[in-house]
Amino acid sequence: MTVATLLVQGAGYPPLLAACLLARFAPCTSRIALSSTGSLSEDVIIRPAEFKALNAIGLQRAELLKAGAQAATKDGSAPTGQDNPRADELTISAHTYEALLASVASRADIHRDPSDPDVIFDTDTQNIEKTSQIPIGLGRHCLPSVRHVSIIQGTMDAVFALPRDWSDQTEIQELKRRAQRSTGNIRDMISLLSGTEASETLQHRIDVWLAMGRVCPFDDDPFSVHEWSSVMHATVGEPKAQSLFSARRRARA
Amino acid sequence: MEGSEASVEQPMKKRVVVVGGGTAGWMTAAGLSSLLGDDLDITVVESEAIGIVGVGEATLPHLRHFNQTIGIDEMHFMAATQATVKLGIEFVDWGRIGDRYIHPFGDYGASSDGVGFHHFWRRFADEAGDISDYSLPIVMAYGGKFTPPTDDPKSVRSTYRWAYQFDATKYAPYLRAHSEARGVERLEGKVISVARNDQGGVTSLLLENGKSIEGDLFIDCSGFRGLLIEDALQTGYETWTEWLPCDRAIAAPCVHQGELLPYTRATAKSAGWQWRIPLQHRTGNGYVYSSAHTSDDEAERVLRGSLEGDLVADPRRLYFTTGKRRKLWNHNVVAIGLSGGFLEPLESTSIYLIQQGISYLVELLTPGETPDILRAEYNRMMDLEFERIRDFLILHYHATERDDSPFWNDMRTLRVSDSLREKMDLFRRAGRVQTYDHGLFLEASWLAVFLGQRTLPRSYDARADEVDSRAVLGRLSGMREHISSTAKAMPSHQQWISSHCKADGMAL
Repeated sequence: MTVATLLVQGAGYPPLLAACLLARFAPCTSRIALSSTGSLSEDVIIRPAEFKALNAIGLQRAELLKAGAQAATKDGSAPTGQDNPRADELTISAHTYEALLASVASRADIHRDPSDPDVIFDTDTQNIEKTSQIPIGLGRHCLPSVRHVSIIQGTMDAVFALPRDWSDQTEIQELKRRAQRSTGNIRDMISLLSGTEASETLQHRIDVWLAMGRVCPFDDDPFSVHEWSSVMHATVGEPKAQSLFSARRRARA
Repeated sequence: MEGSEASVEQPMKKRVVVVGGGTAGWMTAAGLSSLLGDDLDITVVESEAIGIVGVGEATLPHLRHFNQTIGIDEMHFMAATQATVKLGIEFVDWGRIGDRYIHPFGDYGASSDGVGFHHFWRRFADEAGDISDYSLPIVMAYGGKFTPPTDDPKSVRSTYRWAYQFDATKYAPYLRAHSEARGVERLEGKVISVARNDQGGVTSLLLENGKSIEGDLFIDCSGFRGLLIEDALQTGYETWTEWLPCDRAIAAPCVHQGELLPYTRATAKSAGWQWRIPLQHRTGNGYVYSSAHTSDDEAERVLRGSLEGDLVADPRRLYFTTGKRRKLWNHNVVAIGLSGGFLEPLESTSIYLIQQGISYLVELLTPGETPDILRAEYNRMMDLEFERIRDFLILHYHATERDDSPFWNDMRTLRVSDSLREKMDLFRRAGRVQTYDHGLFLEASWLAVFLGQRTLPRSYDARADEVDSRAVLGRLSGMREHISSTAKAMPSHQQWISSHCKADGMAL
């Protein structure tokens, strides 16, 4: 059977994280290569939902805490909200996290030889023209608070769509679609956190929230209702009304 | 009352007027009165002179949740509506004449490390046998067995769900009694005119007997006509007949023969398909067909010629246009049921769509006037529901090798949407199913129809190769045996009905 070389490239911890996940989950007919440059100086925010993937590559919560991770958000722009950080969320320096991932990578079958890949997963940029290059996450300029979730989500979505036949364009297109499918929701979260211009879907989310406090459901959304409502509260304010159903439930409670 | 600001006084109840007392009307009244009864004054306007369509003899498992939520005693309800159990739908002659498969309410096998079961099955397609052998609800259905599932996720008996096959004409009266006990007022009468305000919203209805009914929110459950949503508001209708050309049905219940089967059957015919729904007291039958491909007389001849017993009522014709209203919530009118849109009952989705309409309405109703943005959110969610069901229905017709009639030639060569073509291509290549989070019919459903209608994947997920072949074959064999022995140990469907919910006077 043909072996496909999957090269992950980018700066700091994101390519390491993506390479470790690929080494764990991609078929053994895949050869994982890594090309990382530079580093990131930001804090890494790890949400509870992301621990399942980290556990699978051998990184446990206890190990992260031992390495200096803090069990609460320090970054004011964390997606779970400024005023109410969740105790089950961890914050760790990118430098420390990178070292932990490098240790995981050294035990996995990850190569440092980037020559002749079948596909390149790039964690730095979004504007990629080559057909054999696929962005993972939202690139170098992604808001630090959602970078980790965007890398995990993008890599795991890609894992479940790795083509069996790398010459099949339908499968490659599906791989690209899967790797990028949650980015619309993450971009909306970034716009909400940073106050930049809202997309049509984000404006809809905001207007519905303000009208009655509903978090609109969208496909492939990596953020929970709790996360959206915390950020909505903090960034756009309190809803003008609540649904009759919610009011009734609260009254009963 | 709409638009009033919140005050320190107790706010007035919102006046909700439901027009039409069929399945949709009384489900809406029952749902709203059970969940929001303290905040709403609900009136149902119906006329005994207008018959009901009585859609949805076969249902989906979601309806059980609805009934539980509004406090219905399930066994009492089943006895009252002559209900039987439904574990899925059997499709006969769809891929080719002679083919049959069941779309079950449950999964196939068990996934492993994120790799779907069907990839392992596909790896050993020659040795593994039919994928139906790995679905407990299918094995139960073909064995005529039933017992309710358990909540234990480790048990194979947690891998299925079930629904009802029931007499839909008995559901509305059942819900009427339930709703009236919760304060819903029923008014007998025909609506003869609709008054609107300057903004276009409906303010009141005038009945034939001269009575006028004012309301804040109007629910149009008047059936295909759309008395409020179309006649009054002229909302517009989006037709989907280019993809789903069946536009008529003839229904004819007959005397039941043979064993009481826990599944619905949909048999492909030369210009459409025929349903068979076994109830306790009779069998429901109907032929859904395209008038461009056959005549009414020929359709009736085909239906009569394939009934298992004598007719118990005269055949009844239905005329419809597949599609949906451009807005299901327009101004202060919400269209629920056939007034909102129609998708043929191939996958028993009519009552599901009513239920979703009620659920989103309950989620989005606020005190005072409903802002435009909440109507937009309701319409967004309902559009998703309709469109995803539509694409799934098209798959049934398009994934066929049949070339024995002009109808099937047209359907086989149909120009489908790019998204459906992409889904089919992707599945054919590597067995991948494009999924979504919101809407009906998730991976197992697509898988059932793809595989049942010969859209077979050429390949499978490479990770399925990473398990030793003997281990996989051993696991497959063990799974098949476990499913078979579990089903065998269950009582028959007929025994279960007899013991738990036999209708009065029925000798099962």
